[in-house]
Amino acid sequence: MNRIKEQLSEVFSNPALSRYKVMVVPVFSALVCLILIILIIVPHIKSLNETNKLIKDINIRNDTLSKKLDILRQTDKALYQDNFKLALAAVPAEKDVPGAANQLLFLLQSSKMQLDDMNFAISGNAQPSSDKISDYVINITATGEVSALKEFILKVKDAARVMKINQLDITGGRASNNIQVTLTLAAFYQGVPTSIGNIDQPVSSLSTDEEALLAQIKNFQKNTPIIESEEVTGAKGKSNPFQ
Amino acid sequence: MANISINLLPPEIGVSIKEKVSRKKILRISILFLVLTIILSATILGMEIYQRLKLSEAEKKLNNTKEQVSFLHEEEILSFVLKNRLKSISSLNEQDSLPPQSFNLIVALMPADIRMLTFSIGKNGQTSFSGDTTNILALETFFGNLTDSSVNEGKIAAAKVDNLSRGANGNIRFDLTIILAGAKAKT
Repeated sequence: MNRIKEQLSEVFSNPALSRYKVMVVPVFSALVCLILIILIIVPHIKSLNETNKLIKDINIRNDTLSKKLDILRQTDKALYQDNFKLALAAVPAEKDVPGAANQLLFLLQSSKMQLDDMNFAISGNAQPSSDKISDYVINITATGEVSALKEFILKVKDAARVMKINQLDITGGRASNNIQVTLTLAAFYQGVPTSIGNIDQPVSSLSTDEEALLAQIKNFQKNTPIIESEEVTGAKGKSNPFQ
Repeated sequence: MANISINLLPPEIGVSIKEKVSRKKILRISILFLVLTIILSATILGMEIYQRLKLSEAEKKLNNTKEQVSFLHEEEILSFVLKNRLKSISSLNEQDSLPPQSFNLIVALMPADIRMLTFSIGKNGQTSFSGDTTNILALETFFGNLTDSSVNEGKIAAAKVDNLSRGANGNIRFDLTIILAGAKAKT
């Protein structure tokens, strides 16, 4: 240490350098300060800000996921499965033409109307879309009284399977009270989504409106029982009869 | 009596003392700055280490929650598809079906003596109606019901008689075109 001091005093004893002796410490500290500011303070203040933002975002995501977790924990799986089956009765995942025909036949019969003709206008065999509701047309020609038609219209509105009457043509009978009606109905269906988005997608429990809607469908289903096709069991035969 | 001070030091010594004082001042200030900068840098580095710890803790918590949510994936799918389906059903229920509405309205406005011969309504709500009667008063009442907004509750926008004829047997036959109020807004 003493040697260094001696050497420094020798250096600064030089009259040319002794003038700058007073500047050594301030210049040195200024340089160190500058280096610290450029290399540590400025970049780290920036990264502090970014990290803070990141922590906030993660905490928000965590809060959202925790809420989602609470809702999912409260979800009664069996009840939701039953409710989904109920919702599928209103708007099925497939066209379910037999189901629609069964319902209409049941409604016509219970309204005391006689079916003359029924045909379906189904275009395409594509997989039903899960994004939008698709429909197909059912044309019905039936005979009955005006009061029976009124009852039928009311029953279609209150049926479990959602259908809409798009066209109504009536021809009155001159000799009797019976009228002949030609109806064009739309039967709806919608595919089930195959993906549900990412994990951050929020989930909410059923609202009172949705619960009321399910109760309404349940009630309608009691009025219009839908005959579900049973799965065929037992011998199924050859998969390819030409082989 | 005021004190009188006399500076007996030679002026060179005074100048060198002043220089020394200012040198010391500069030295102190520069050291102070250096120390302050070092403290600030150390604080920032310390804060960053603390933040990194907090970040890893938050990430750990998030991953834990994600894992728990993924265990309940089936419930999530059920909830999503059920809500999606109920939304579709609600949207369908909100759509008015004009033909049944129109039929019920016209049947309600029709007096008992009027007989419906044909009735036709499409999705756009334009209704064609033809009927007959032997009672002219019933026909008048029917036309009045179709055109009086207080009777039809403003549900009929326009009613037009396309044809009106009377047979030899006194039977009056008429053809009408009725436009529903909702239909006019839609077309």
